[in-house]
Amino acid sequence: MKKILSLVLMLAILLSVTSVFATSTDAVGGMEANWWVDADVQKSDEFYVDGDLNVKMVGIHYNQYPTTFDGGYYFPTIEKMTGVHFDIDWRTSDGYAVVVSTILAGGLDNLPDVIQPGAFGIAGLADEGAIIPLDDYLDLIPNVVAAVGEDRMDNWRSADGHIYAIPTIVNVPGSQSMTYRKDWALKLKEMGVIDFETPETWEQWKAFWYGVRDNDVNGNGDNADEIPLVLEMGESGERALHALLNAFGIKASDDAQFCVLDDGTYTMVYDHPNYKNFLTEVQKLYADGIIDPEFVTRKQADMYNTMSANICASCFTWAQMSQTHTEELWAMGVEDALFECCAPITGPNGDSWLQERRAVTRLNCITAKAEADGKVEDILKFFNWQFSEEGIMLYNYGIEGLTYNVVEGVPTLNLEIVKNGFTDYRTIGMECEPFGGLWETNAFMQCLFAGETLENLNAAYKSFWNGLNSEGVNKGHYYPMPPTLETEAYIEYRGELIIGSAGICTLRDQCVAGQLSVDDFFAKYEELKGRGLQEVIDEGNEAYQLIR
Amino acid sequence: MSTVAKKTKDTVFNSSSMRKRVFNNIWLNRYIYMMVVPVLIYMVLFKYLPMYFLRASLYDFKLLKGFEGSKFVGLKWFERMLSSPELWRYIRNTLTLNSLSLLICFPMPMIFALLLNEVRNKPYKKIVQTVSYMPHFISTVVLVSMINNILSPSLGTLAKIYKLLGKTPINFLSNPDYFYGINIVSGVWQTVGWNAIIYISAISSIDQTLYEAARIDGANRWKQTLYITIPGVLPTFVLLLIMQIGQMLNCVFDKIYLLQNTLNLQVSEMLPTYIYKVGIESQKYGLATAGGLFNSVLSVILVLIANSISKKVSEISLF
Repeated sequence: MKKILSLVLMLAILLSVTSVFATSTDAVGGMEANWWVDADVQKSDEFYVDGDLNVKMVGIHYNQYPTTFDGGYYFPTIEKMTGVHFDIDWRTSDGYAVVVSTILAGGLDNLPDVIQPGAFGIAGLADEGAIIPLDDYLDLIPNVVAAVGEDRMDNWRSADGHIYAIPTIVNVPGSQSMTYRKDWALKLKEMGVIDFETPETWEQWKAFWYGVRDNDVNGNGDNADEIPLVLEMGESGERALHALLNAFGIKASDDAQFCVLDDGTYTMVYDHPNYKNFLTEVQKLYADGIIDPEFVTRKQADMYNTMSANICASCFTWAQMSQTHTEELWAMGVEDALFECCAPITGPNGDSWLQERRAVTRLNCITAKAEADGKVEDILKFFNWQFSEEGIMLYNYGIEGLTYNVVEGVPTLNLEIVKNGFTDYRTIGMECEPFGGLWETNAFMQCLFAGETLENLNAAYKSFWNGLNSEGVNKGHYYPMPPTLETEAYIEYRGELIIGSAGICTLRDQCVAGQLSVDDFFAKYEELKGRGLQEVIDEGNEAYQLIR
Repeated sequence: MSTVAKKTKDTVFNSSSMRKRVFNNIWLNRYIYMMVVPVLIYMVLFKYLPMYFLRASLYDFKLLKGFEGSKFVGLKWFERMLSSPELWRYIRNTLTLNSLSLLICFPMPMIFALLLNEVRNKPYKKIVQTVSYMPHFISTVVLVSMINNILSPSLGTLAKIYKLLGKTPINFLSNPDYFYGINIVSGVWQTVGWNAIIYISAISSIDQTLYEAARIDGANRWKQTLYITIPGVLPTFVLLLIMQIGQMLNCVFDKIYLLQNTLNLQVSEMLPTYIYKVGIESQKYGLATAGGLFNSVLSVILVLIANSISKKVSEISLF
C-alpha cells in the first residue's frame, strides 16, 4: 500500500514538474502557436539600433492576461524590426509596491532600465532618485509628444511639473458603464411594481432597486438573495461608491478622492457642497438593503460572481462584462437574462455622469541605471519608434498578411482574431496593454463589433456595444477626470489619513454602514484636516493651478 | 612586580588551557555543533545584522540613497507614532486578540494532546492526529479565501444554511463584533493539531514507571493524568507560555491583514499591520523602523515580566 501511494505521489510530482517546461500549442484567433517565429519581418528604416540593445524592465501584468503571457508576437517582432531586446520581469499588481521597494533596496545596480511605478507611484520613485525626468529629452520623442497632444499635457506631467514616464494612450472615451438586469425590470413592470423598462431618474432607480429587493425576480424561491446595487471596493477601497458619487454631481478623480469645485478650486470630494446629501442618501440605501452589504470587501472577481450567480440587479463595471455574463446566464438556462448597459445613475438633482477613460496614462519610466549605462537616448528613440506609424501598426494590428490586411485603405484585422471581441485579440499579444502604446480607435471598434454589423449583433453584444461606443448610451455623460496629484503632502499622509484605518475612506464606509453619523463623519474629517489633510488639499490645489 | 608577572602568566596559561578545553569539546561534539550552524547563520543574517539598520528610524530613509543620501530627522518618527491618537487603540487591539488567543488557542494543543494520549485505539489515534495536522499546511491566503467563501452573506455556505433555517444571513466579515471570534476559531482549527506535537512528545518522554507505580497505588486514569501527565508537560507549557507572551504585540500578520476591511478596522488594526501600512506601503521606512523598534522593546519588557513571574510562582523560567 505504502509503495503504491509513494509511486502515485512521485508520478504526481513528476507530472507537475514537467508541466513547467511545457509550451502552449493552443491555436488562438485562428493563429497557430508561435505563428510569428517564421514571419517575414523587415528591419525598420525609421529606427534600428546599432549593436543590439538589451533593455531590462519590470512591469505589471494585468489579470486579464494569462499568467504565463509573454506578449506573444509583440516583443520578438520588435526585436526583428528594431534590434531592441526586452527582458521583462512581469509582476502582478498585488504587492507590486513591495516589489519596487525590494528592487530599490538592492541599490542602483539592481535597477532595471525601465520600470513601471504602479502603486509605488512616480513621485515616490522620483523622490528616491530612481527615475529621471524626461523634460530635457522631449526632442528625442516627437511622436510621443504629438500623440499626447497639447491639450492633454497636464495628464502627462506630474504634480511637480516634470514629465517622468512614456505614456500609454487609448483614444477611446469609455470602457465602463452602468448595467442593469433589463429582464428583471420587465418582470417588475409586468407585476405592476414599476412602469418603465429603463430607470432614468433617481426616483425610477430607487423604484427599480426597491422592487428587486422586495420581489423574487430571479425566481429561485428566495426573495432575499438578489442584490439591488452591487458595488466593487476597488484596489484599496478608495473608489468604492464612485458611481453613486457621480450621480450627486461630484465629478471625482479616478480614486474618487478629489474634485474641482465650480470656482476652479481643487479639493477633496468631502468638501463638495453635495457630499453631505450624498452621504445621507447612501446611508439610507445601505440601511434599506439596497446597497451591496459587502461593498467594503467585494473585489472585481467577487462582483462578477454575483453577476454569474443571477443575484446582481445592477452594477457599474467594464461594459464587456454585460455581454459575457449575459451569455453565461444564457448558457446556464436563464434564457431571458440581459445585462443591459445604460446611462449612468441619475441623482436627485438630475446629475448623471461617468468618468471619461483617462486617455493618457503615465506608464514606463526610465531609471537612473539606464542613465548611468548611457542607454537613455536609445531607449527613448525606441519608444519614439513605438509611437511612429510603423510602431502603431504593429501594436494595433500585428503583422500585415498574417493578422491583418489593408482593405480599401483601412487596416482590417482577420475575422478569426476579432470574433471573440477583445479576448483573442489580446491573447495573441495585440494592444499589449501591460507594456503600453497607442491604441487606435479603428482597431478598438473592429474588436467591439467582432466582425459583425450592429444589426446582426445579439442582444448581449448590442448591450456591450451600447455601453462602450462613444455614440451609445453614455454619450453626453462623460466628464474628464481631475487628476490625483501626488504632492509631497499627499505622499506623506495618504497611507495614514486617506486610506489608513483612521483615514477618511474608512470613516466614509463606516458612515455608510451606519457605524458613524453623518455629522460625526464631518467632525472627524475636520480633525483629519488638522492632522495633515488640509496640507494635502492646499498643496494639491497649488499644483493643480500650476499644471492647469 | 614579580607577583604581577606570575599572575599574568597564570592567567595566560589558564586562558590558553581553557581555550584548548573548549576547542576539544567542540571537536568532540562537532556533529552536534554542525547542526547548530544553519540556525546560527539564520540568526546572524536575519536577526542581528538587521539591527544595524535600526538607525533608519532616525532618518527620512530612502532605499536607493542609503544613509548618506537620506535626511537625518532625529526622533521625528517616534514623536509622530507616539502622538498618533490611534496608537493606543492599535496596541489595545493587538493585546485583546493575543490575550483571547492566549486564553483559548494556547491551551488547546495541550488539552488535545492529553485527550489524544488517552485514546487506546492506535489506528484511530493516528488518523485523528494526521487529520488534525492537515490544516497547518494550508496557506493563510487559502485559509482566508475559505473563510470568505464560508462567511459571505450573499454567496457563502453559512448564508445558505441560515436561509434554509429561515434566518437572515449575518454579515460576519464586516461586523467588528465577530472579528476576534473568526480569528480565534480559525486559529484553533488551523494550529491545534500541529502545536500539539510538542506536547505529545513531552508526554511520551514521561517515565513510564511513574504510571506503573501509580496504577499499583490504585490511581485511576484521571488521577494519573492529573498527578503525572499534567505535571510532566507543565515545564513545556510554561516555557511556551513565556515565549508566547513575548509575541503579545505581534499577530498572524497575513491573516489579520487579509481579513481587514474598513468596517472592522476599529478592532482589526493591530500594531504590526499599522506599521506595515504606514511604513512599508507608504514608503516611510524610518517610521516603519521606529514602529518595529517600539514593538520589540515592549515585547522584551513583556517577556522579562512573564519570566520573573514564572520564576517566582513555578520556579520554571527561560533565564
